Amino acid sequence: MERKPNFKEMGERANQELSELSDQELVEKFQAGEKEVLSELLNRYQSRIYRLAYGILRNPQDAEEVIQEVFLRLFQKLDSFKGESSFASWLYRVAINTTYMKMREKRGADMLPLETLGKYLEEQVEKRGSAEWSSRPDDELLTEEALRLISAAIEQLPDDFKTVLILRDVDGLSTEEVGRLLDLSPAAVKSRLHRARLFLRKRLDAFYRQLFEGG
Amino acid sequence: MAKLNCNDVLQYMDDYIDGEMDSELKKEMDLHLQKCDICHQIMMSHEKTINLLKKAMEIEPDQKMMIRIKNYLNSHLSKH
Repeated sequence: MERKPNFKEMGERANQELSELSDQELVEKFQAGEKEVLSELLNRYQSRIYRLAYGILRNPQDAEEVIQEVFLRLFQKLDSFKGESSFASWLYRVAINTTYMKMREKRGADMLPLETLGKYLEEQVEKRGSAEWSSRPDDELLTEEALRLISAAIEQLPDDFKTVLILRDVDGLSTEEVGRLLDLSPAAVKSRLHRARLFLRKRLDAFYRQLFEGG
Repeated sequence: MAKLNCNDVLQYMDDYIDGEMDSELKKEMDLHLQKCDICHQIMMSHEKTINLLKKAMEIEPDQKMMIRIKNYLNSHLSKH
């Protein structure tokens, strides 16, 4: 008989028995009727999905809804998962699609068109003198205001730049993995990553120069 | 390989930081960065930006949220 997942009881069993199994083993158990293993997959991936969804949507409630929708979809679709890619890649793809759907529902006016971002997205050697701020400790730099600035800057990036930035720099996926998830060539991933980092750096550079040098 | 100029260094900056660069090119980059203060500063601030982003994004769903997610899934999946 098929066992329904019970997320309230997930703690003990997930930690004690299931956490040692590979993703593939959990998927096989699920496909064999042990639906309760979904709780371990939730344990394993909810933080990563949250960071991805929050990174793109910039709203904790929306990110929470993405996790819920992803795991509902997972429950409905995991039986048909054939293992042609890794489970993690498959789940990321579901999470990205769900996040983009949410983004389309919520699309605000904050994202700048690419041409407006243009001045930030071109690298030039600027003889502006020392960016002294970059040698300061992180604790001194990560003020509430700086965090708000980073958040606002990410929000302004085009979706695919934002997604590449989160997957590469926050989740630590490789260029090739990100390319496979987003159907982009490695060169296209690198280009988006470079420009997203550059945008963020220029925003921070202006902010910290103002803060520390008054200029 | 010909000596790198500043624009070359900026072009390769991410590959350098991400360790996705062959050793010959990395040596050339290191040489340039030792001599060029401007590129060195840009590289430092670029790298720092990435570190700050990582730290700014060190977020987890809180305990209350995790309970809400589990309750939501329990109630929805019990209908299947």
